[in-house]
Amino acid sequence: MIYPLSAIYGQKDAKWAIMALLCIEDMKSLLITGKKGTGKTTMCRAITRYIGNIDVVCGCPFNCDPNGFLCTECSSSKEISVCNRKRPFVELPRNIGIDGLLGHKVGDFFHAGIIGSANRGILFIDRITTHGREIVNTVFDILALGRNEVEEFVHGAEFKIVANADYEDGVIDRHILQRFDFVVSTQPIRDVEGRMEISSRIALFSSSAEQFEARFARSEEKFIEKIAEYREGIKEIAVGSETIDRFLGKKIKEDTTKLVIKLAKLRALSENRRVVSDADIKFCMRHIPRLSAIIRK
Amino acid sequence: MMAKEEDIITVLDIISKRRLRKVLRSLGTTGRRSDILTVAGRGRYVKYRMPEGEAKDIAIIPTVLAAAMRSRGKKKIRIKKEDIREKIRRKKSAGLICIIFDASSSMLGGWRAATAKSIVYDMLVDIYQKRDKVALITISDNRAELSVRFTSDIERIRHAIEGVRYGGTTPLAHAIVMGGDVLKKRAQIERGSIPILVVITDGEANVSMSGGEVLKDLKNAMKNVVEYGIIPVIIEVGGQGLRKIAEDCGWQYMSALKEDIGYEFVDQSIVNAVLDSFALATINKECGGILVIGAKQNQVDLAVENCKNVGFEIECVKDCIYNCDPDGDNLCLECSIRKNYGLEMERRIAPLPIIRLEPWDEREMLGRIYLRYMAVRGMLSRAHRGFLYVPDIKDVDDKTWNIISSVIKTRRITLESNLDGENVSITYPCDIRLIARADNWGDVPNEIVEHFDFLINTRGEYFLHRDIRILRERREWERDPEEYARGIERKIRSTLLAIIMGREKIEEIESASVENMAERVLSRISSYGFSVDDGVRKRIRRVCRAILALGVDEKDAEKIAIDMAYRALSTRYVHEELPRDAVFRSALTISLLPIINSNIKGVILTGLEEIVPSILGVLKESGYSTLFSKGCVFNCNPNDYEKLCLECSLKMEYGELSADVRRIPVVSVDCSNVSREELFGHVYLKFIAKIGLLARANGGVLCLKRAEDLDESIAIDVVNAIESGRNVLERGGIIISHPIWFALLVSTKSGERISSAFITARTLLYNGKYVVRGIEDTDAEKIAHRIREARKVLGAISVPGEEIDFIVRCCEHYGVEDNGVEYLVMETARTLAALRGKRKVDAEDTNDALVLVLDKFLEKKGMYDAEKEYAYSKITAHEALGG
Repeated sequence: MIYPLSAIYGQKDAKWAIMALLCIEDMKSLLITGKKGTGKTTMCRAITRYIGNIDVVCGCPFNCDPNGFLCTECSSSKEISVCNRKRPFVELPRNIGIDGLLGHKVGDFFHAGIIGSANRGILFIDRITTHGREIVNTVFDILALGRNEVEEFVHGAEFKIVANADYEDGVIDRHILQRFDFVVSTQPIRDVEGRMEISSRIALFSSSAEQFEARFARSEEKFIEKIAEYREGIKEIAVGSETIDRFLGKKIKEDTTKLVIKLAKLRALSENRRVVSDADIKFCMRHIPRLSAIIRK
Repeated sequence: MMAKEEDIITVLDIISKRRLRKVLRSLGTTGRRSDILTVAGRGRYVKYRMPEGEAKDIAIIPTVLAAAMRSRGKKKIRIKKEDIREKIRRKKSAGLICIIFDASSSMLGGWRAATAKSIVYDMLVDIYQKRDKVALITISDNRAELSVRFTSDIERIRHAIEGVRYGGTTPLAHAIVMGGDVLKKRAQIERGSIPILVVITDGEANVSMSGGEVLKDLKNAMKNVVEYGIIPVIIEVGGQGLRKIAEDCGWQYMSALKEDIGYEFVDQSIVNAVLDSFALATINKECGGILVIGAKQNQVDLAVENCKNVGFEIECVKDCIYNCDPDGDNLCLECSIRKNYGLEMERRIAPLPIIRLEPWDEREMLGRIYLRYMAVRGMLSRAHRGFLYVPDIKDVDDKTWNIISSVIKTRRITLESNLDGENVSITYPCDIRLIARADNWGDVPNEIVEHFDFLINTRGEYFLHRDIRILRERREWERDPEEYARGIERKIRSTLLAIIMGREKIEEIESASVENMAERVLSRISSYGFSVDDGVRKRIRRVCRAILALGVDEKDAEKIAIDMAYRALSTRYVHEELPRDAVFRSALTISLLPIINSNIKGVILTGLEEIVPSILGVLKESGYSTLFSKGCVFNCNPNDYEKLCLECSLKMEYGELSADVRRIPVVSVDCSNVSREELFGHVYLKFIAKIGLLARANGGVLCLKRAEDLDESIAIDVVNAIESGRNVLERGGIIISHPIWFALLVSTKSGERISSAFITARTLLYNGKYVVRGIEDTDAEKIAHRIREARKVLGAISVPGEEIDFIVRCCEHYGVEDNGVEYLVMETARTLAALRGKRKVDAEDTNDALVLVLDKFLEKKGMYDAEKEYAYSKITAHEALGG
C-alpha cells in the first residue's frame, strides 16, 4: 500500500505543488528538495494514488492515445482496440544507459525504453543528483520535444517529471535546475508535537494499514474531490491585465507566462479567491527556477 | 546598641545576587564581618577628632600637639578646652546569624533538600571565616525547634542538619517569631553585633500560630522581625510564592529556582540501585558494603540521603551506649555480662546509623580511653550495626583504610592506653559496612575491595546510555514534578517495607534453595564470559539469600540476582575492553534485528572485524529457513506479489508459482576488491542476467566487509537499491529488474570513516562498547528458533504512548532532523522486545534502540571527543525549561 498524500504532516507547499502538477496540464516537471527524512520520496510515490486511468491502444508498450498521436507501429496496424489502464508511474533506474532510456531496435522489433513506458504517465527520478547528467538532460530534451525518435521509429513522449533531490548527495546542476517548471522544498519538522504526530502516523500505517486507511479516508476523499474541483474551477479565475504586465514583461517566453498565470490562478483558487493577486504571481515566480532571478531584481 | 544598617558591609548584598552559592564562596577575605567606628567605645584607636560636646575618651598626644601649635613661641604649653581631641576607635563586629531550616515533608525528595543543604553549607564556610556566631532552628515533625544555640562551632550545625529527619507540616510563622526572640536576646548580650535571620524554606507555610490565617500570621511575624532591627533574609527554594509578602515586609528576598543553580538531573537509576543494595544489605547482615564507581558525588550523596530517609530502626539494648544488639553475640562488656548472667535486657529503638566519614585522626575515629573503664566513642563506633559512608575513597589515606579494614574484619574496636603507668585496654563491638564512592577503579585500594558485595559502576557505561537515562529522568519530572517527587517517596517507603519484611523472613530461608539459586546465577554469569572465583561465589550466595528474603517468587528473584551480578561484573571492565563473548552476543543480537524486522535495513558494525566471521558462521549454521519461489535464481519471495522478478511474475500469472523452503543465504563480500558488476550483476546475454552478489543474498544476509574501501558511488547505489527494494540491470537497452531484500551487515575498522550513505540509511550502528542483551545462547539451532518466535510475535508488540513521546523528545534533544528516525527507533525497540520475549516495549528496549540509532548521527556530527561527551551528559534545568 502506498502512503497517502493527505496523511503527510505539514509540508504545505510541497503538497500544493503536487496538487498543481496533477491539475495543470502545462506544468511538466516538479522538483522537491529537502533534507533526508522529510517525506520527499513518500510524497512523490503517493502521486500514483491520484493519477487515474487512461484509454490506450491495447498491447502498445507506449500507451498510445487512440485519439491522439500514434506510434509508428500503432499507426501502421489496421485495427486498433482500446483498453483502459492506469496511467504509468515509472521510476528512472540508476546507471541506465542511453539505449535503455530511449529504447532500441532489435531487428524489426522496437524495444521500449523507460521513456516509452512512461509515455502519458509520470517519470519519477529519485535522488536526481545521483543520476548521470547526460541521462537527465536527455530526459528533459525529450520532454520538451514531446516525441521520441529512434532509428525511424517514433512514439509520443508526453509525460511529467517528478524528481527529488537530497542536499546531502551534492548540489544539483544549475542547468538541470533551470529546466524544472517548479521547485519546492520540504522542511524538517522540529517541534515535538509534529514529530509525535508523524511517528504515530507512521507507526499506525505500518502496524495496521486498514485502520490507517479508515482514519484518513475522509481527508483522502476530500483531497481527490479537491483535485477535480480545481481542474474545473481554474477556468473561472480572473487575472487583471496590468498584473500580468507588471510581472511578466517581454523578457519571458509566452509558454512560461501561461504557466505562471495558471499556477497563480490555482493558488488564488486554493485560497478561495476569485481574482489573482500580486502575491500569487510572486509566489509562483519564486518557485520557478528560471524566473526566480527576475523576481530577485 | 544595635548596628545601623548602613554601617555594615553585610553578606546580604552579596547574597542577593543571583548565583548564591558561587558568590558566597567568592568572599575570599577572612576576618570579622564589619568595621564600626565608635567614639567612647572599645576597639583599636585609629584617629582623632574634635569632640562634640564633652569628650570622654581623650586622645592625649593630639591634644598636646594642638595646644603646642596654639601656644607657639610661649614658654608654657597650656591645654585649653578647645585643644582637646577625642579618640575614634575602630571595632570589628561579628554577625549573629540564626538559620531557620525547613525540613518539612514538602522539602523531601529530589533536589529541594539538597539545594537547601548546599546553601547552608556554603553559608557555614563564610560564617566560619567571619567568626560569626550561628544558631539553627529546624522545622520538622510539625514544629519549630531551636536545634543548636548560638555557637561558632559550625560542625555542630552541620551535624544537626545531617541528622535532621524530614517530615511534617511547616509552622513557618512560629519559627520566625522564635528566631526573632533568640536573636533579640543574644544581641542584647553581644552589643555591636549584627543580627541576621536567614530563612530557608520552600515557601509552603501551612500552619498558623494562633489558628488564624496562615499568611496573615506570617506577615505579622515577618514585620515584627524587621521592627526589632534584625536583618531578615528569606531564601525560597523551588518557588517564588513568598516574594510579594517578603518584599512588602521589607525582607531581603532570594529564590533558588532550578535554573538559578544549574540543577543537574540525577541519574535516578544509580540512586535506586544504591537504595536497593542498601535494602538487601540491611536484610542480610552478612552482606558486605556498597561501592559506587564513577557517579558524581551529589548523586551518591542524594542516594545516601534517601537511605537515611528510609528510616529503618534497629532494636538496641536500653542504656547501652554502643547500641548493642540484644539478640546478637557481638556485645560490649556490660551487655555480655548481663547476657551471661541471664539478666533481662530492656530494649529501645534507634535509627540505623549512616555516618559520613570525615577525614579525622585516628583518635577521633576509634575513640580514646579517658578513665579506666570509660572511653570516648569514636566515629566508627557511632556507625556500629549501620553504615559508614565514604564520599570519596581518594580522600582517605592508607592508614585510615588499615584501621577501617581491621575493624570490619574483627568487628570490634580495641583501645589501648597507658594510664598512670598501667596498660588499660577496652574492647567494644563495631560492626560496620561501607558505602563508598570512587571516581575510578584505580582509586580503590585492593585490600578493601573484598568488603564490598554490591557494585554499582557507571564508569564503564556507554555515555549515550547514561545520557538517555538522565533525559528520561528529566522527562518524568517535566511530565509531573509532584508525581516525580511522590514516586521517589514511594520508592523510599517500599524500601522500608521490604527491609522489615525481609528481616523477618531471612531466618526461614533454607540454605539449599540459596545454593540452588546461586548455582543457576553463577552458571548464567559464566556463560556471559565472566570469570567466577571463590570470592564471587560467596558474594553471590549472600546476595541471593537476601533476595530470596524479599519474598518475590523464585524466577523473579533469580532475574534480580542475575541483573545485579551482571551489572556488577560487566561494568567492572572499566575502560578495558568488554569480554569478547559479551560483545559477540551483543553483535549477534543486533545482527538478528534486520532479519526479524524488514523495516530495519541493516547494521553497521565498527571495529568488530574479528567477530564478524563468527557471526556469519552462526547465521549460516543456524539454518534459519524461509519461503522462496521455486527455481528462481533471484530468490524471489512468493508472498510479495508486487516485487517479483519477471519470470516469477509470469509464472504467477499462469498460476505456476510454487514455494520452496530454503535456508537463507549468507553472502560475505570483501569490499576492497569487488567490482560493480560482481556486486550488482549484469546483463550477460539477451534477457539472461549474470546475477550479482546482491541477488545471491536476496532474502538472506549480505555482509560488506571492510566497507571503508567501498567506492562512494557504489555505496550510494547499494543503499538506494535496498531502500527501493529493486535492483535494475541494463545493457544495450535490455532491462532486467529483480527484487532485493536482505539484511545488510556493514563491517568497518574502528575509526575509519563510513560512507555517509550507510549512515543516513535506515541502519543501526554498533561499536562494541556496550552490551545489548537478547541472545544468551549462541547455539545455532536455538537462534533459528528465536528468530522464528520473534517474527511471530513482532506484529503484536506495541509501543506505549509515553515511550513514543520519549523517543521523539530524545531525537529532538539530539538535534536529529530526519523525521523518519523516530520510526526506526520504534521499530528497533519493538524488535528488541520481540527478541527478548516481551509483549510490550519497555524502557530498556527503548534506551537500547535509541543508542543504536542515534549513535551514528552523533558520530557523523563528530560528537565523539570527550568534551562534547561531557557536554551532552550534563543537562541543566535551564535547558529543560527552554533556556
